[in-house]
Amino acid sequence: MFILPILLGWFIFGYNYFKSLVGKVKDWPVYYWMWGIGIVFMIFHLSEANFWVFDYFRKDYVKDLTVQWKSYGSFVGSWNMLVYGTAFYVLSKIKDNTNIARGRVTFFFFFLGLTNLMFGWAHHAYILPTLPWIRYVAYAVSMTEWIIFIRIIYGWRKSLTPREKKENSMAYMFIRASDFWVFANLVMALLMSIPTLNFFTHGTHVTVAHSMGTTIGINTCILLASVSFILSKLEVKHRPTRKLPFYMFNGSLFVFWITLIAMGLKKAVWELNNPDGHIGELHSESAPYYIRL
Amino acid sequence: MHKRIRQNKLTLMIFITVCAVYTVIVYSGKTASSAPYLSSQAMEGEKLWQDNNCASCHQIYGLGGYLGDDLTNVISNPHKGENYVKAFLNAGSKSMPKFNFTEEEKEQIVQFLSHVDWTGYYPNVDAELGKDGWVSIKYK
Repeated sequence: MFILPILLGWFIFGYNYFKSLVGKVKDWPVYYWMWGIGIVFMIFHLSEANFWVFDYFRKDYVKDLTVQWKSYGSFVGSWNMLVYGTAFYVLSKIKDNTNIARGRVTFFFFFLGLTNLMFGWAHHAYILPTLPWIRYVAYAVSMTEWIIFIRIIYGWRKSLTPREKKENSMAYMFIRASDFWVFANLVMALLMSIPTLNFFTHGTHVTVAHSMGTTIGINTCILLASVSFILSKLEVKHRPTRKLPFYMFNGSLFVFWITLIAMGLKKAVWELNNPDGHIGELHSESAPYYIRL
Repeated sequence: MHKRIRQNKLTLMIFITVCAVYTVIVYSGKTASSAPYLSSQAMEGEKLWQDNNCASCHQIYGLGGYLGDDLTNVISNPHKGENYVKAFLNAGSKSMPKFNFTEEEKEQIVQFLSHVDWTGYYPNVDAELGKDGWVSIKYK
């Protein structure tokens, strides 16, 4: 029941978005596409996550789990469309040039991201007794993310001009930090999409390090970059200049992320060596380990 | 410029069409599990599982909270099984609350977990790991 007002909110948001833009802006830059696609797919996949209420899905337990896990992967992909669209918007505004958001290469990467949103979800379901072809497709699609990975490394060689960096220093710092978290997220996604590695990391804190740890970094940094950019356009006295909170946030999140990876690896090893063990034993062994980290 | 916009729109339409077909196939296709549909008793047990937020601590197929054990194969585990589950439900443990389920409700939860157990293995310890990175999982 609680999903209904949430869905209604997304419908109203989508209606307002498309009503404001369709027919009024020609030659949409990529971030308009990303926001539009993000809203539409968010509505669909949020609905899909609740299809278990229908007996058709609910009675077939493996299908029910497959559809639910499909939706979890895809609505995170939809959310990423919204967030990465915002990052693109801020970068375009910092450079004061929207042409970079209309190029062929930019749209190639948009469609590559869309491919992963639509078909890459199934690496979440490797371990479920689904038909093998679903997992083959997921494996193939997930590996296309290597192209994005190489592109990020290539992109690091290019940069903004010193003047653009100086004028938007906090926004720029947060965008650079989000670059790091996107990179970390992608490295984990690529490794976890290899079925052999997924076999060991599935159901451990490594998954959380990917789905939550790096995502907190991406979303928060892009959000704060947007806020910093807006503030940089206001009077000087309102501009955020202190860098300590920036380093504290990213530093503590980095420690949290490493802790999750370490705990996940520990859990994977423990599960393989203790198939009949009680998880309380793992917790007892891990308590001092958590504190030390 | 107009040509580029048309190309982008056409590409998007192709993507959405392929995605729609793929989704329909996933929804209507079979799975690799030989388990029958959930019985009415098992569905009641699943509702109890959801209403009591069991997944916030326990996992099924590795998904859920990390405080409790994964319960995918708890029923067929020779060291655990049906009576083990029923005993824990109302007795609790250091980190698990005591519930106040009736005998019928406990049976429904066991029916649900038995059905889950029937669908497959987790961890899939007999899966074969290939040199190409592929994993052939063992089905029930």
